[in-house]
Amino acid sequence: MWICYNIFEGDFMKIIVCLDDNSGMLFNNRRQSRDRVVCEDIVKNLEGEKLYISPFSQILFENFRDDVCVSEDFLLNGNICFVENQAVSQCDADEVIVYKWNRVYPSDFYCDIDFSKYFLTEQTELEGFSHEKITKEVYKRVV
Amino acid sequence: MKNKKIIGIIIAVVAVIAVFAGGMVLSENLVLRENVETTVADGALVVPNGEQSDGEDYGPSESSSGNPANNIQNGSEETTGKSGVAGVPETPSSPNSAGEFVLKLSDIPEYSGKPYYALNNNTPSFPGGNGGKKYYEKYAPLDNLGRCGVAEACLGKETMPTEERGEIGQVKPSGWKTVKYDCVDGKYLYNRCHLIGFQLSGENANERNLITGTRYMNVDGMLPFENMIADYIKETGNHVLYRVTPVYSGKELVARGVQMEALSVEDNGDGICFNVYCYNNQPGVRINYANGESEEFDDGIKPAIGKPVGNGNNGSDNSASSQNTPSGTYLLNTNTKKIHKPGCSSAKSMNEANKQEYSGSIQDLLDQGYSKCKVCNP
Repeated sequence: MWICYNIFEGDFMKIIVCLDDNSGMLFNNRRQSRDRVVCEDIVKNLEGEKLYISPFSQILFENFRDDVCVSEDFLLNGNICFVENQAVSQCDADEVIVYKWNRVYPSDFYCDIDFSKYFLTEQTELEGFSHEKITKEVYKRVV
Repeated sequence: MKNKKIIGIIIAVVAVIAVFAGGMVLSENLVLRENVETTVADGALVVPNGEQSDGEDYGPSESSSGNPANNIQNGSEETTGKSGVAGVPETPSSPNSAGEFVLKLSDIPEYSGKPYYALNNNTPSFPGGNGGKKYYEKYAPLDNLGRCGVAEACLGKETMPTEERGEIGQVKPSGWKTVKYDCVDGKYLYNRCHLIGFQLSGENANERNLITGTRYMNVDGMLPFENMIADYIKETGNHVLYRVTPVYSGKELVARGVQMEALSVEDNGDGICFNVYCYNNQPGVRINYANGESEEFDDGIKPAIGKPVGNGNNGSDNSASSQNTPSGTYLLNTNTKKIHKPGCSSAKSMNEANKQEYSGSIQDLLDQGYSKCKVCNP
């Protein structure tokens, strides 16, 4: 059931993911890691828009309920989507934001985005709450 | 209550008989589950497992659903050390007559490129939960061959180190040999491998917590799991039940691997839940597990670098890191084949003769057999 389409043609779609050094996202159906600083940074940069997340991610944004929309089919409805446990390559997102943990965790579910279709436009470093250094990378789709 | 006491006494008697019988060898394969003595985080008390037969406060709760959160006593402080029975695992799939979980090496597939293998559908076995203790550590005594046994803990910020890591070179785990190979990251085949990692326990040169482990098992097998637990604890302040069991074959001195089990307590495993076996092998080296001797050997198996995509059914590699690797200026160690950032602390101690500056794509270096420094992560 990994289906997603950006049905609103012409709408700008942004995907946000967190990855370890092996581009892993999950192990045993659980997120590899979490850091409150990442959530704060995501919400801080919404610029008035809503963040769309799945129920799986709800626990991360408990303190930002007014800023998020939670639904199973969030990828169908959202322009800015935080993705943890779904394949997104079919979404053809215009922009991808990657938060890199700079750690290796066990993984059995990996990011399926083909980054050869994107170019890196921005790279910054964050000091996390539980991670020494988190690298934030912004990729835009090659036109 | 009486029944519990009777059961406890029976368990104690069986445990004592097993120990005197030589203990741990079951046919060709076995897992050490000797918790005869236990130590706690503050080193306060050592209690033989079999003597703790009351079971009322510390044994697996009969009424417990297996939910470790049920056994949390809010505000309870450090364990009294009477923690014997709580650590005895029971797994429905393969308990032995003493109720101990027996992992058969024959059930583990041959190493095929991945450093770990999920056991029991990644479900750990902690039927006693945390035994009512907020945090604790227990390390089995060495057996008559000088081998480590089970290390178990309820980890939290309380158990994490407060001091820098010290020297551990004085400990010589069973089967220890100092040997170097060019094909090994850092050259040394063996590490003194913590069963419960220093970053989780603060245990430094505890001989009950150090085994002869390959560099590959230490770094590629165990470390990612330890990282995951450590960061989870730091982020949430929660606790994690954790058990690491070295798995030996017969009387061999070097473990064939380790079983690692973990379950987060406060969220009942929503955060951390795994049960894996890490292979104590080293690609490119053949090990004689009986005594730790080794020789160079190409088994034709390459460590897995391809990642499944999405739901894991597709074997192609579309990862961000592999398809959009950065370019820049790096410092290379031509001897260890490591890529460093120019200011990396690890590079400062590098032999000048092995040092080489490089400008270009990391991917090109990876293709040449280089690997990234895990300290600076270029």
